[in-house]
Amino acid sequence: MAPKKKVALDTEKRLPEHLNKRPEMTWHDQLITLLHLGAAFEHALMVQYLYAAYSLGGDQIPVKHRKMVKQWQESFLAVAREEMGHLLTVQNVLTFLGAGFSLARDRFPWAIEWFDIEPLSFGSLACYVNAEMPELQKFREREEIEALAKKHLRKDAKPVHPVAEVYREIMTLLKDTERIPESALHPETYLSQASWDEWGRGYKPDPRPLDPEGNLVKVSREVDRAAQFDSHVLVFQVATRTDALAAIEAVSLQGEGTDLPDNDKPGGGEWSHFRRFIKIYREFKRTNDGSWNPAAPAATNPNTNPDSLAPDRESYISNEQTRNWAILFNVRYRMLLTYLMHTYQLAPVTRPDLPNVRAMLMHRVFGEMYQLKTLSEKLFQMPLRDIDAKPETPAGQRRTAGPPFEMPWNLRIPVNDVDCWCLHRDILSASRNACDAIMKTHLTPHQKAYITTLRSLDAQAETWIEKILAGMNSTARYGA
Amino acid sequence: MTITELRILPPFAIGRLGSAKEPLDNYTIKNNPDEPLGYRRIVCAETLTVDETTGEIVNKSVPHTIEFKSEGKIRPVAPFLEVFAVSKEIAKGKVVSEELVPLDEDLLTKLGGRIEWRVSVANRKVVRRTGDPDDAVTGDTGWFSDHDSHALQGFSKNFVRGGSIHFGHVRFIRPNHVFGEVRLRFTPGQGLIYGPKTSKSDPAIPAERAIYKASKDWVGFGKDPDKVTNQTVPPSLYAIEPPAPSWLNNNIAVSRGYLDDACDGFVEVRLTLEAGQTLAATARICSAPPAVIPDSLFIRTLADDLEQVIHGPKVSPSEPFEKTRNRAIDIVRRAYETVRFMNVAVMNGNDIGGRPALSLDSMPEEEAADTERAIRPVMAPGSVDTFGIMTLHEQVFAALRGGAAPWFVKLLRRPDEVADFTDRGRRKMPALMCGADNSYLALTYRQIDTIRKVAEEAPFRNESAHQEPGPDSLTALNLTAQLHYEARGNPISSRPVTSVANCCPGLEVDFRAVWRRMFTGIVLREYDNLVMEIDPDVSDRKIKALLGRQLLRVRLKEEEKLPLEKQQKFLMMTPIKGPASSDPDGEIALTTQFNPNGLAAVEWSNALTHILSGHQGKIVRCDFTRRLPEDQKDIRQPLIDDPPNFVTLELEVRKFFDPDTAVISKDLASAGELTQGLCSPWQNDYRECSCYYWASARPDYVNVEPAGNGLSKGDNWFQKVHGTGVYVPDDYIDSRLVLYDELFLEWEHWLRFQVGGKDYNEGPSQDSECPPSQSATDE
Repeated sequence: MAPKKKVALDTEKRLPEHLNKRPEMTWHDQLITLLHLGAAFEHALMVQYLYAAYSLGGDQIPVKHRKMVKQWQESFLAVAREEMGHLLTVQNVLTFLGAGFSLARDRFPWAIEWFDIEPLSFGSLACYVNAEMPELQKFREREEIEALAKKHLRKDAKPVHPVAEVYREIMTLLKDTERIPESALHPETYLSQASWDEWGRGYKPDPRPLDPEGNLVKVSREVDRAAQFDSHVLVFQVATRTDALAAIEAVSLQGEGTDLPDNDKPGGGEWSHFRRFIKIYREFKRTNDGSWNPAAPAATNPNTNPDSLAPDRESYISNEQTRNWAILFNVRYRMLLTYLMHTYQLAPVTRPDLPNVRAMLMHRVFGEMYQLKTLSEKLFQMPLRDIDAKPETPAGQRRTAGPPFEMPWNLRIPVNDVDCWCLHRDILSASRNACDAIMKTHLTPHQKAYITTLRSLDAQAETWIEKILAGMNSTARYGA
Repeated sequence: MTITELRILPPFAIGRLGSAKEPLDNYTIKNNPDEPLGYRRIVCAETLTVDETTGEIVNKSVPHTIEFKSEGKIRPVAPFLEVFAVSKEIAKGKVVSEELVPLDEDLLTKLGGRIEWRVSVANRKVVRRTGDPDDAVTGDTGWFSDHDSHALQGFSKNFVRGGSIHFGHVRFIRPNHVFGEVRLRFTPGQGLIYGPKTSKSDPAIPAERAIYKASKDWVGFGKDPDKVTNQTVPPSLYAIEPPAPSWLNNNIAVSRGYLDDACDGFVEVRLTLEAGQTLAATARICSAPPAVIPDSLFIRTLADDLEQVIHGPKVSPSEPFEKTRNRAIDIVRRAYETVRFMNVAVMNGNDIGGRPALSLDSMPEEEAADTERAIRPVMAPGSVDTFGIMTLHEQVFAALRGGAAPWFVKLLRRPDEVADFTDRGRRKMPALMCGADNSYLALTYRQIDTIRKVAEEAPFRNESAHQEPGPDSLTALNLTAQLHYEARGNPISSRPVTSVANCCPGLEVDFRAVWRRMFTGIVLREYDNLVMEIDPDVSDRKIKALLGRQLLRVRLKEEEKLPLEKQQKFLMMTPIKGPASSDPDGEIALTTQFNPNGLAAVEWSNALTHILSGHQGKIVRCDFTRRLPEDQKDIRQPLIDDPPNFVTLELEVRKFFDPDTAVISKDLASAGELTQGLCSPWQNDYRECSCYYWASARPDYVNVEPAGNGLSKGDNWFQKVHGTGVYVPDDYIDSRLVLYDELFLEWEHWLRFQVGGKDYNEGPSQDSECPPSQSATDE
């Protein structure tokens, strides 16, 4: 799918000084560094929005507001999917430039408080609106939202969306044929890149109806309203410099959009992140009388790190049973990321027109997304601390955990394919251990059914991997 | 206690054909909690043994193992039908309770009555094609009250003297002091093929089964295309003179004149009380091919469609959450149970081993042929391996089991999207399979709403509030419980939950047939909206003038005064859409020379559900084409409101079930009509229709295992030699495949049972739970 938008460069905004090219780097190095940063932002945003989405719900929400809250959740999930598309597009551009895959999420060159993962609140919502709003956009709540965001972040400085700045710099560099010569570009990697056909999962606007002359037929207001819950996952493959520029531009613009928030006229069927979030903000403001909370009383940045000197101590999941589930969540997250990295490693040696094991790994990436969703929903109902599980603790003081989304200790995968499969097997073993720990505790029927099913899934996966290893005429390098 | 009515349960019983002497033992299937993703376990259940001499049940036992065959012959499923009395307790002139009680010897003695039975069945497959009423094959026992075995012999005016088809037999089981209930047993035919009496020798038709007069229309039917005036869909579903299939031979389909011993019809019971009052009840039966995959269920079954008739397209907001959730999980489970028997790469329209996809049968191939467009794989060709897709479904299943709210409601194909052939439309779920309207399969509205309800409510549920729902109680008013009633001794394969519903044409029944008479006065074609007949008792000229017109739309009478744009409109057709060749993200109407308006009829079960729900027995407003079609191309006329190209008539919606029962009304389909659209003989359909019509009833990919390349390997169910791990793509003529005549001669050998996804071997099975002396009812 070829990106279509034109590039509009704003050369006035520059990066912070410490992100400028260092003397020991080439411009190609600098471009790759910035793309890695872009990927990290997209990954972080995706996780942030997923956390916010899954935090919504619970029986504390009045019945009259449930449909609205469910729609908020769908909007956030739509945005999270689009961030996933951004992440894959950036990875494609990296591949196009001959660089490797990057999934790092938390090694930013500056502190970004608003990349906290936290349950949705009025304050965090204001931050999201603030982050996604077009810089020069005038709308009635602008100042109010800026003030709320500052209060939530406890910062005086205006939080500017750093992603936009980074992408501008990327586009500036990409356009520069002297700094980034043609020899730095690899159009032959096109088929190795992630395609929308494989990764898009159908998440794009409904096909545009055309009249017999081939002109677009205007959509109805109802169609336009329904589109707010639809994702338009952008996964661009790039074969030329122009492709790459347009892809980065499109990814950048999908957040801000060009729609005015008060414009009720049906657009092209797509809602920008900003338009979605401002709508949620307005609905939240209208209905929020302080008597109900749309989200679980979950922790911000929940974690399983027992180190007493680690940050976010107040969000350490000290309840053991909950922590076991959180560990399982982290294992599945690692599984997802490892499968994803392996698909990129296999891409150059895979024929896309025939069923292939790379695609099977891709299916497993999606399968793990479903498990992360399931585990998230459970963790948002589980106590963070032992005291939160006690009946005598007042409901208003109880806190729940939430999915930790802690990054794996190791984001690298082996060069050798046999070792990659052994690594997958290792992680399955870790999952088995985590499931065993959970099964030793008291479980509800749903929980038991789920763990049993997960174990069956993993057992099938292990059999599958053993067959692959046998097919590679390899003995196991090491037992799991 | 006052007995006011009778019921026969189950209201719809399926007999399964087979030539073995002993009927199949009773079994059911259960999920295995220790292997939640595995195949359902076959659980042996209480089997009733009938003494052939006395006609009474002499023993009940739970077999040690399930043997689907005996000495190479398939054991038939011979269901029991039990009689219940509706017992009302009346206090102060009001009904205070109403329950169903088994009618047994004791109750009969109390009531002082005499029981009689009558069974009437028919095979109308030939009549459906030729239009000659003399081609109907009918069997009727007349009323009987003894306990002898009564043959169901089918006769036709177009048979030679003495010729008949043996549809099986029925027996009023003699009640005794241990098994005192009043019941009848239906034993279906042997799955034999009958044919014309000619001088030519035909190995498939021995002399005793050469019964059809060679001079009559069925022999050679199709040779003269002008005589084929009411084609079925799919067309030419009958044994033809080679070469077969017809589409490899310029669509020439000349009938060999074969018939089979499948049938459908009615079981009636009447109780004549001493006081002279008569109580009666009816049930329906049909005979069908064996359930060759006994441990799997299809994604959309006849039970789903009948439940939609009972409850309507929407799930009641008051239905307990866990009940809805369990149903949603079961739908997803049935999805992967279906997928695992499909060679997804083939069904996706991939080229296979370099061979073009056009040479193999699949939905994309059908779609290409129907729309006169180039074939396109549905999903990215590299991503479609059966294991990968199945695992993905299993992941969804695991998530739902874990309490996750379904996230994929929008990815389910709506019933009005069945002809959306854009990539977006084709990739919706269920994917790659055919629906009753010959377009892509959609679930019932009710199934979709089940998933929607769980998606909307799950985020607001506290997991600790989980409460497992109780079983449905069998009462006179609970039609669902009656529909699913498990009569003693009846295997699960006798119930509608094992019958496919995407009838194109179907396997157990062609369920499209029931919808033809939904509106009083007219008979529609089963696969589209053409008015084929007018009821003989109609005198209204306007209704008579409807013959040959299309039913375009139905509107509600109570909305008559509203402006048209505010009325609910239930359309009987949907536009066929596809990608624009210059803009893959756009969509255009797909038209052809034979379908210049680019319209497809939508299957009745979903199209009419909103009308059935709340409007049975009421008047609705039906919009028909004003103009008669000029030719075949003109059959699918679009609906135009301004100026209107339609005439509006008010017609009554018939009642679907007989009053207060779950028996499909006799007004909708007479004996033989539920099966008339099926293949003749049915064996032909197994060869001719590929698995994308009914994957977990007619499998494609079997003995599937993971291979060393990370993909799946297995056999084509229809390749002669299994166990090779090399799938033979089905081009219908490969000598490695079972071909038509081999199937006609030895279908019991070639239709190999699959248990646990593998060829079933006779003897104790590792896949069944049949410990000695344990009854399924003990669990």
